[in-house]
Amino acid sequence: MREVQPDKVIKEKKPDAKWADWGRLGKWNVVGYRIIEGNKGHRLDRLERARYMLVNRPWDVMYEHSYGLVSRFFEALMEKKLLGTKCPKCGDVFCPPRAHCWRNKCKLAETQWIEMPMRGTLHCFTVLGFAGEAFLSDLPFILAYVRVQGANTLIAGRLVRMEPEDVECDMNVEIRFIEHPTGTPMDIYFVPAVPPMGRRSEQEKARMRKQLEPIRAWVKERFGEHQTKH
Amino acid sequence: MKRVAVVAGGISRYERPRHETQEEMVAEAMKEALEDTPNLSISDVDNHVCSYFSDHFEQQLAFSWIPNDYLGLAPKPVFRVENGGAGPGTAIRTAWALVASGLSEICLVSGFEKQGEVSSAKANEFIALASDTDFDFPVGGYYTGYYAAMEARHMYLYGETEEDLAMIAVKNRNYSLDNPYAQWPVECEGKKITLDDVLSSRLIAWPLKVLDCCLLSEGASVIVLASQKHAKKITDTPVWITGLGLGSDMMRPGDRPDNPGFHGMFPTEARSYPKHALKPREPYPEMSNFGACKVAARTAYKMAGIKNPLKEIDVVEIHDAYDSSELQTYEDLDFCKRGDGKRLIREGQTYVDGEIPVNVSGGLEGFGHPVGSTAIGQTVELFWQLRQEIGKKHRSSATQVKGAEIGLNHSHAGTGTAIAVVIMER
Repeated sequence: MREVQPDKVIKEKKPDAKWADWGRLGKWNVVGYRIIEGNKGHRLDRLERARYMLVNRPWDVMYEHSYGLVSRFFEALMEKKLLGTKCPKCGDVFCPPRAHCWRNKCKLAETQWIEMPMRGTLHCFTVLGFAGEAFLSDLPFILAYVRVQGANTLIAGRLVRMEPEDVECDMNVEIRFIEHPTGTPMDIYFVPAVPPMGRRSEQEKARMRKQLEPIRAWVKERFGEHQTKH
Repeated sequence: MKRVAVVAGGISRYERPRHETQEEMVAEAMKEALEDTPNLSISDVDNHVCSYFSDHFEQQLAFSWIPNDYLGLAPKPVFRVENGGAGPGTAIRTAWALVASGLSEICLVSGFEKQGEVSSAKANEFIALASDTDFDFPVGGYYTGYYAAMEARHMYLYGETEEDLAMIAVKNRNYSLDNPYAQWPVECEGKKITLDDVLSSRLIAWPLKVLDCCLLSEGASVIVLASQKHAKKITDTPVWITGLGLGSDMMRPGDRPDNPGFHGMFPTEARSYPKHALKPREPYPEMSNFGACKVAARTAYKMAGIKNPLKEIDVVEIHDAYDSSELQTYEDLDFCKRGDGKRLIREGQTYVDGEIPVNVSGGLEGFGHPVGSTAIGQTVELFWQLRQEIGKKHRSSATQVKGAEIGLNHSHAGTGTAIAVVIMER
């Protein structure tokens, strides 16, 4: 049996020193509390009052996460290359990549790396007016599922340089890289490859614009003018 | 296999926040089940299956051990069943298997969730951890976004409007006003809403507005399953579980349009793909529908001997995390053909007096969605429906489906990644 070799560092970007205390600061301490009188009971029509103590208990974690056997996809993003994988048996193409084929007949055949074209088709999309905490300052943005040309899977990302009301399913897009990629799917983004197809009525467009007004105002008030990476 | 019945059920109301702990809420639900079922004692329970969704929300691992000891069940067997939003439906399936196989005679299924200890934005992040965290989440994806994109595709293919979706939100939310366990009545202060309230509510992810989406909730519920031998001793009116199904689909919704796993399974649905759209290799379910639901439903119908679900099923509780998913699910449960979901709501067929009443409890939009409890709470509602007890348990009998004999419960996880169906009969 071959001896197990220790991990060897090939390349490293150490997190900024500000992250060093990330795990230590939120340490399960009670940093605040409220004692309240609130409701007790299993039905709305049979409620009583009870006294509760609510504590503020911060807890946070720094993960060192492995991208596994498809790590090369993320490494290539940092070199501004879009890779996919291809099954040597059935020829299915994966972008997002899979290290093993999904088809039962291929018996989990290991896939091979290929370079993907920087264009595709937008399968479907949404315009986000709310998001997870980390993404609130980006609102509103267009989240799209795009079939990179030749792929049998769709990749999620942001569509920019188009008004939300002009976006339509099945439109052609180009894929671009941000200036300083860091090894996440956010390193790529989509731009329209064609002018709007104009299938949506003026009335529908006006409704979407109106729905977005309060979102834009809320983001501006909370986070100031948006700085785009695209 | 032994026949298995639901013999008791209880709910501890849904709200956000609830200040009682998880085990205290489970105890409240259990207390109701015991009060309604004088012939049942906690000591009769020989197994306990527990359902909760998120370790992040609860900040407690192995939580099933706590309500188990709190109810006085230790040293009896207990374990957690986790399957995303289909967790409670899968817990019922597991408990059914324990009783049907003879491993258990009387099995408790409990479910709970707390989603109120963090902000709404953080809560949405926690839920989004049930999506692919390497590809879908880092670009700003989260559940309402994924469902909105899937609905945008369904709209593009089949042409329903935001108004069609809003009709479902109005239906479910207004029904919940009669339900004293429901969360929406507290949030809306008991006032009915209109189509315009939904359409003008804050955009969350186009085409979904805040009133198109379910609630973040806290609460608990329990049901007790028993073998035929014990069921009749515990209650004169057991409700039998006659069909179960569970299906799955790709983790990333973007992996569905060409997924070879569905190849040839549903030819009718695949053929009904409109000509104006680019046709993927597997036109059904692709991103517009829920193939896992079709698999679960057809399995459950076969087991229960149901040939025409629209005519034979009397009352339905669907996992309407979004009103759009209720509409899509009408199609995937075979209540209508693919693309016809909009017709069902426009014709009023899913209202309490329609052909197939759906979510008269209020559903996830009105009743609430404490994930681990959701489908168990909906099962309790169906248990009361089939025993004609809604008038006793709700504020009135307005949402009692008269003479209901067959009920269907649907619970749904991920972006349709796991879906459970349970058929119950009086």
